[in-house]
Parts: sequence; C-alpha cells; structure tokens
Amino acid sequence: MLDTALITYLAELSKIEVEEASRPKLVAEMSAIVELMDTMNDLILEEDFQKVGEGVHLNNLRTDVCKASYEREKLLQNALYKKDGFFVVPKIME
Amino acid sequence: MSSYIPVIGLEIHAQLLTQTKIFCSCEVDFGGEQNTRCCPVCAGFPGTLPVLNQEVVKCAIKAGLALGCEINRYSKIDRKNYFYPDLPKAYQISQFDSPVCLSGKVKIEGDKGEKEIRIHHAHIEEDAGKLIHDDIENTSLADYNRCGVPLLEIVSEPDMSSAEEARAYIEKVSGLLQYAGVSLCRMEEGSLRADVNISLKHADAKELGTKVEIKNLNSMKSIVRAIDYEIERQTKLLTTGEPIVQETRKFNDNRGVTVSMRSKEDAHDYRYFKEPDIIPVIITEEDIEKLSKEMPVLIDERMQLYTKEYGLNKADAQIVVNEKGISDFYNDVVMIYPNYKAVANFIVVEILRYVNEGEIQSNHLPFSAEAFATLVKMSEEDIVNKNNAKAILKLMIESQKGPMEIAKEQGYLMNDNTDEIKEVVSSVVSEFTEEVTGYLAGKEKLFGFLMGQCSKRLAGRANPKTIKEILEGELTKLR
Repeated sequence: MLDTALITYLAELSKIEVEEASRPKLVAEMSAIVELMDTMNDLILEEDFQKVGEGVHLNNLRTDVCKASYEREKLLQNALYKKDGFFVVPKIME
Repeated sequence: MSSYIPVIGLEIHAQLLTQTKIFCSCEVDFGGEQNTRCCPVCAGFPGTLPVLNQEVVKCAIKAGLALGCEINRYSKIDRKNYFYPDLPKAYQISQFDSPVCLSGKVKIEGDKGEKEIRIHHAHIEEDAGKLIHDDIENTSLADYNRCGVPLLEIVSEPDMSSAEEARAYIEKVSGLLQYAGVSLCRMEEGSLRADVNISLKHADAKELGTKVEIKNLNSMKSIVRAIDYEIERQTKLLTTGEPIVQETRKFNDNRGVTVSMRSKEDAHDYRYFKEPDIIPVIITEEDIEKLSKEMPVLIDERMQLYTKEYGLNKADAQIVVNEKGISDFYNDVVMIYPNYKAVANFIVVEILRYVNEGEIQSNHLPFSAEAFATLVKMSEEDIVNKNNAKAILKLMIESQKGPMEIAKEQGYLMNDNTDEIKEVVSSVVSEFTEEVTGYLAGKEKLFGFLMGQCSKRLAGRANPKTIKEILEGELTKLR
C-alpha cells in the first residue's frame, strides 16, 4: 500500500525533491501506476505460451546487422543542456 | 589466525560479442566520439520501442552451455527501475525471474585443491552510459555510446573464500566465454567487470554474516586488492564488536581502500516488472542442439592436450589457456616448431609480460606465429643467446621486423669463429693467472669465473658450449 512515507523514501532514492504538499497527490498517481504493474505481474504468461505454443522464437528476433546511428546534432537537438557533444545533467553525489 | 571465514560471491558482467546493441541496430564498438553510436532507442527517447537482437540470446545460450548451465526454455525480459542519469530511460532492461541460463557450475583450482563454484543464473541486460563528472560546474557530462551494449551478468553462489579463489573463478569464466566465442573479456576495455559480494562468517556459525557489495571492479588487481582490504576491514569491525553495515561500496584504486557509496536498495526497491515492449523468447531443444554444435573447442580440452600430450606443467598450461588469443597463438607456433615447453615458457615469461604491461594485445600480436617460432628455435639452438632472444622480441614488437633480420642488424648471432674464441680464451688464461692457478689446485668454481670473462669479451655472441670446450682444453694443457 502506498503512503506519503513511501513517496518520501522513493523521492530520496530517486534523488528528487518532492514538496510535502504534493505528496498526497503523488500517492494517488503512483498507486495507479503500481496497480498497473501488479496487474502485469499477475499475468501468468509462461503457461499461456507453453499451452498454445506461441511466443517469439529465436529466429524471429532481429538479426544482428548494423544500421547507421543518429547524427549527434540531431540526437542532442532537444536536450536542454549540452556541451561538446555530451548531454549535461546535474551531478548526483554518491 | 582469524576465526572468520570470508564468504565471497561474484557478479560478472561480460559484454557479448555482437555487431549491434541489444535493443537497436547501433554499432557496438569500443571507444568512438561521445554520443555518436546512439539512436532514439538506446538514448531512451519517449515512444521508441526496443527490438531484441537474436545474436544476444544465441551468445547467452552458448555461454550458458560453456558454464554448465541449464538453458531456460522460456526467457522473459524485465524492467529494473533505478534513477541515475547513466541510463536515460530511468530503468534498465534486464531479466529478473526467467533468465536465459539457470544453475551452472565451474571448477577452479581453490585454496585447498580443486573446487566447484556454483552459478546461480546468468541473464542478459543492457549496459549503461558513461558519466564524466565536472566538480567545478557541479554537472555530469553524459555519453550514451555504451547504453544498450549487450551484457551477460553471471551471478555466482557465495562459494569462494579468498581473493585468490575469486581471481581463479574470474579467469576460468573469462576463459570459458572466450573459448565459446561469445565475449572478448577485455577488462581494460570494460568488456568484463565484476561486482563482489563479501561477508565474514564466524568459523562456528551456521548463518552468513552481513553482506557488503563492492561495485564496478574492472581489473584483476583491483578485485584482489578490494577483497583483501574488505576482509581486513570487516575482521577489524567484528573483532572490536562493531556491526557490519549492509551497503554498496566502491574501491578507491589510489588509496587501496573501499568507501561507502549508498545504502543498498534491495530487489524490491527496483520494482522489477515484465517489460511490456518485448515478448518473451521461447528457446527450443533444436535451438540448443544447433548452437551446441557451433561451439568451438573448450578450455578443458586444451588443458588436457597441454598437460597430457605436450607435457606442460599445470601452472604454465593454465596461464596459456586462460586467454584464448594466447592459446590459439601457442597452437599455431607449436605446429611450426613443436618444442612445446620452450614455446610455452617464452610465451608465459616474455609475451605475457608485454601483454600485462599493456604494450601489446593478446589477440592482436604484432608478429606472426612463424616469426615467433623462428625466434624460439634460434634461442633453443644457440643461434642467439637467451638474453639477446628477449631483446630481439622487444625489437620485433617495436619494428615488426623478423628475428633473423634483427639478430644480424644488432650483431646478436652467435660467433662460430673458433679462432677468435681460442684467442680470447688464451688471453683470459694468461691474464687471470691467480684464478687459473686456483682452479688447477682444485677450486672448480673458478671455472665459471673464467667462462664469464670469455663470454664478456666475446660480447655474449659465442656459443657457450664452444667456449667451454676450448677453455677446458686450454686448462687441461696446464695441468
């Protein structure tokens, strides 16, 4: 069950600042997300695949052939902060 | 002696040998300009879809077969949520409870003889990017070239009891992966890294102690030093009655110490869940059979060949087989010059010294097997002396010239001119009268001194056997 204490803990793990006033709202939002995850985890896919013989077989997966990567300028074009071809992000101390 | 027993488990991350990344078609290669091997998929742009590379799964199956694992017929992909800007999606695509490889085992030479190390499982996952920290600006520069590089994480059971056993296990796993043709296992390029889990257990206790994880060790030297340091640190704490904190630590190479990183999140905090964008993979019996037939010779078979048929001692054979590039090269050389022990000795002592110093790469030696076979033969047949053979090898690396050409240029060829040798021997005998008298009076050790003087004057180029014969003859005349 999610509560504000868990939100506080997750914010700490995520290294993000969450104001106290917005924590109850986040509890509701996160609960919906976790509920979706739990629903997905409840699906017993293995049995279904084995029963009907479906799923992706090895040979149906992507073949290992290179394609051109994105141009760097294009890749970085929407980055708020960039420098010398790098994305710039806040330093997170460990 | 300490009453605590170290309990060590390892997570080895080996880069799988593919052309493209695990979930997109960007090229996998070492180095390169920052953010030039990226696309919207591996850079984590919203709305993109990962597409699993079949070669990654094939490599993982081959690795599993080499590591004695059971291959899971149903392999599921999961999301592991964590927040750190080295992965732009804020989650890593990995495997949680249905990995490709299940329970395996490898044999190592342990502290008390042969020992079996159990493998809990091995799973495929994507690598993260690289961050360069800028202390002045208080920012990090993110390069996502490595994002999506395919890794196999091999998780052992805590079956090792010392740094040396951990080293032996890593060397064995590395060898098996190289021989299976699924990874280059180059620690210096980051294609093999290890996390170490370590705790101390009291000799009388049944339960394991509190575990500490040391992350991201990327050289064998660091792994050994980090484990030895951590054993000492935890022993001191336990001896003085202080608790061990369950945490993740990193090893500071310069100071030779481990330091705390952050409190360890447990698996629950990662909130693993099924990756909704990738359908699980069904691996059939036929797939496994086909891939096992593609497996090249395995490390244990070469070990048998070297020790049983070539007569190498176990230690030398182990060093040669550990790196597939070296072992392949050894095989090529002994096909040309089948002096098994001499070739092995030259490789173990000389070539690997240059490899370990980073001057040459074991799988890209700057000389051919033919050239090296000629050099060993020249040394064994006293065409050049042993020291000059080493000097020739150095010049072969630097100049890429052949050994005979270098020997001639440098004047290293042994002198077969007996007249010159006779002349030098005579001059030594007449000059060092005191030593000659001493030798004739029974001080046989002085023969070595006189031999040394002759060799020195002949600049080490004369065959020692010829010098010995001539010197003995001269001294006999004086009796």
